[in-house]
Parts: sequence; C-alpha cells; structure tokens
Amino acid sequence: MNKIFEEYAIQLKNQKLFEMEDIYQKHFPEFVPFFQKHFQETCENITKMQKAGRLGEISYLEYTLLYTNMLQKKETAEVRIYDNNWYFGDKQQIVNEFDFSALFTKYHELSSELMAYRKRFAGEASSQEIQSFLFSCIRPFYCYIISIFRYSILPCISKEPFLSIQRTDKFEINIGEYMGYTEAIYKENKKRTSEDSLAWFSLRREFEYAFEDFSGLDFTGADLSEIDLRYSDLRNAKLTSTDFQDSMLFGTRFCNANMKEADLRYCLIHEADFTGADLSGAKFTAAEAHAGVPNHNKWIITGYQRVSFRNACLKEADFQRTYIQDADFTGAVMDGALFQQSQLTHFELSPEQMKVINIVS
Amino acid sequence: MDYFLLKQIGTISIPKEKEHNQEEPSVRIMENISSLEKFDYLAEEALFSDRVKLLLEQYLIEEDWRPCTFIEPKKQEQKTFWFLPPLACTPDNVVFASNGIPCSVTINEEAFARKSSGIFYIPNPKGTPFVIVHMSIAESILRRGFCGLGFNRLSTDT
Repeated sequence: MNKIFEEYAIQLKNQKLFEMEDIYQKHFPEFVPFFQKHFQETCENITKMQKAGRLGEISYLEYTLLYTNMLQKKETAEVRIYDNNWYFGDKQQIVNEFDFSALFTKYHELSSELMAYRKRFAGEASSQEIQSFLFSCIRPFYCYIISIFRYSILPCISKEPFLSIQRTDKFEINIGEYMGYTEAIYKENKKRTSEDSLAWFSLRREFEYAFEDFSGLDFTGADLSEIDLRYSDLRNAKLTSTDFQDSMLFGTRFCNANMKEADLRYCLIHEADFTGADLSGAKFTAAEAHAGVPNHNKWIITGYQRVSFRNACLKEADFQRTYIQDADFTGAVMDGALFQQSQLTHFELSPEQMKVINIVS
Repeated sequence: MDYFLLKQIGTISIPKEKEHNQEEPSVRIMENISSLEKFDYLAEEALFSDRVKLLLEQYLIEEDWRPCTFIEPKKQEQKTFWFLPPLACTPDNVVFASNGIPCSVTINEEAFARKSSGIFYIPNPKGTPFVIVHMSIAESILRRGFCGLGFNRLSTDT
C-alpha cells in the first residue's frame, strides 16, 4: 500500500472511531433496549431448547463476531452456547443471530471513503490491501458493541427468562471473536465463598478479578487497599468499613452493596456502578473518575461511561478534593454529604440535593 | 517485578525440532515461470505457495510438506509450491450440490475435536480435492488480515 494512502487510512480510522465514540457517549441510553431485547429473545430460545430436552446445562454464552460473515458483507454475530468444555466440547450450538449493522455505520463510512480515495492512487492501493486494512479495523469498532452490552446486561440477569436457564455453577457471558479476543461481560460462580475470595485477594493479582462474581459476599472491614478490582462484580456485597484505598475500581459493579463507612480514598472509579448502594459516611477524598476518553489524539479504547451513584445513599459521604466529573447522582440521598465550594461546578446535583449537602470552602 | 535479567550460565541447548521427513520434490519444467507469481493456490493439485504454506503451517505443525518445484531452464529460475499434506479427518458423509461442489458435511465432532488439526480434504471424483477448514482456522486467518481467500460456509449435520 502506498505510504501516503496508508497514513490517510490510519488517520481516517482514528477519526471514524472518535465519531463512533461521540455516538456512543450521546446515544448510549437509546442502544440499551435494543441489546436487552435481543438478549431476552436469546434466553427464550435457550429455555425452549432446554425444556424440549435438546440442550443441557450451559456454561458459556457468547456473542461471536465472525470475520467469515464480514467477508460475505453480513454484519451479524452468532450467539453460541457451550458446555463446560467450551470450545473443546462437541456440544456447541447456535441459538440466535445478532445483527449489529446499525452500529457499524462509522465502519461503513470508513470503508466507502477509503474505496473512493483509492481512485486517486491509480492502482497503488489494491482493493485487497484495503480489505485487509478494513478487517484490521473491525475489532475496535466491535469494542463499542462489547461496551454497550456490558452496560445493558445487568437488568436482564436478575429476571426471567434468564433466571430459568439451566446453568452450571460457573457460567459466563462473553462477547468477542471465535477462539480469539473475547471479553467477559458477566460471570457467575455459585461456589465462591468470602473466605476463598479474601485469600485470593491477598495475592493482589492484576486484572484477574475482572468480571469475577463476588456478589453477595461479606468483606466487612477487609483490607482491600491497592487492589485491582476493575469490572469485578460486588453487587449486594457487604462492604461496611472496607478499606479500598488506592484501588483500581474502573467499572466495578457495587450495585446495592452495603458500603457504609467504606474507604475509597485515592481510588480510580471511572464508570464504576454504585447504583442503589449504601455509601453513608464513605470517604471519596482524592478519588478520580471521568466519562469519555482522556484525549482525542489517538483512539485506544472505548471511552468510559459516567460513574453512577443513581439512587445511592450518600449521607455524610466525603467528596472533598475528589476529581470526579460527569457523575450521575440521579435520585441519590445526599444529606450531609461533604463537598468543596470549588468542586461544585463538576457535579450535576439537583436543587433538592444542593439544599442538603454540606459545602466547605 | 515481572522482569528477569537474562544471562548465560553454560552452553545453550535448544530442544530439537521434530524431524520432518525430507520428501522428494516433484519437479516440473515450464516456460514463463514469472506467471506463477500471481498465484498462491494451484487448485488442480492442491499446491500452495510459500507464503500460504507459512500461514497453514501454523495450524498443521506436525505435518510433512512435499515440495513441488517449477523450473524454467532457459532463465535458470525456479519457484517452489507445496502439496497440502495428507490430513487425518474424514467426514462421515458429504453432500454435493448439483454443480459438484460440497454443500454439507457430517462430522463426528467429538473425534474431530480430539484428532483433527482443523483442515482436511474432501476427494473430488472429477479431480481437484476440496480443502475444508474449521471455523476456528477461517476466523484466525481472516482476523490476521490475510485476504484473497474465500470461505463458503457448509452446513453441518452432527
């Protein structure tokens, strides 16, 4: 491929990914029902198959992007299910298809603009080379589908038809490629105990706890400082007075957890989900969070969603000297929560919330 | 720390690679050898170019490849292609469409998962064998940016 053309292609890919980022940030709530509806439909298919005896317990459910489909201009992911032998078992089945073409508009634009630009180079960039380049761009665009799914899944797993699916003790929902790059968006482990988990936490592994299921476990008063709990599932966990100081809590799911007096000082909490959590007296001093991407020079990952404190109890929580931006405080109880005057521009608090917080200079 | 200081503490010994049988090359004399540059696959005898062999070797680690060398004596030039090695998996049944191309295969998935490397032939009564690849290999090839290969999905009956 001609060097000038290659540079143009890379720059255009970057531009289209940032345009996709804008769509993702602005229209995210509109995508959620689309994904949830499809997931419900998939669950219905699975339960029907299980009731008919055509399918046993499942261990993995995957939304699989197929390059072989992309080659045929078919932008559909296959929803495949597996037993506990995963790819090595002979019980793989396709239970649904997911058409993501509506979310690939920026990829379509990249493709058509590159093909049009190619004409200027009189044969120096072959259509195969462009195809090869375009295929290398599929994964970053598909990352947006992974991200939307990740944030759409939680309401679906707490209700039917998902609850009726016969699942093994360890169960995962993954999104990604076939026997390639995949991300877990939800994991279940019915056998995990608080004691096992604390022993594992003591090893302070990096990223190993991501999407792992610690929901409902009791870590009251535990020392979980300087730990990497990115995207871990701590919903409904008992975390009273738990020490999370200096921890990485990107995307951690704390929904409805009991986090009274929890110490979250110096934590990174980008896109963490504290929906419905009891954070009375929690300390957020110097904690950091923001939505979107840190810079617009080079696209690296999908931008963060807003950290959510929706319907959380933040009575007397300490937000002094935090670097939290774009947080969602809708419905949060904030009586006596402590803020600095200079920070208030970063927070979208309702007039009612403004009346009950404590502001220090 | 996840880093190590590398140093030598004796003679470095490298585990022996599997000894591949040096198969006798098949030699073909031809004119205009440069015309082969355009091709990576010669369907008539299932011959693959060096670059495709390099790719397929990633999935066929144990197999021995027999070379097929094309020579143009006048120019003293040669180019090597490779016969696809014999592959273990045999489908239980194959259905051919009216145009003679396979449209469906029946495979014992359990045996396939244990034994096969994911690539196998289907003999063609009219000559050129059909090369079948498992989805894992088709996907692996495409996501690495290899273009110019077509993949028609077959229906399977297990």
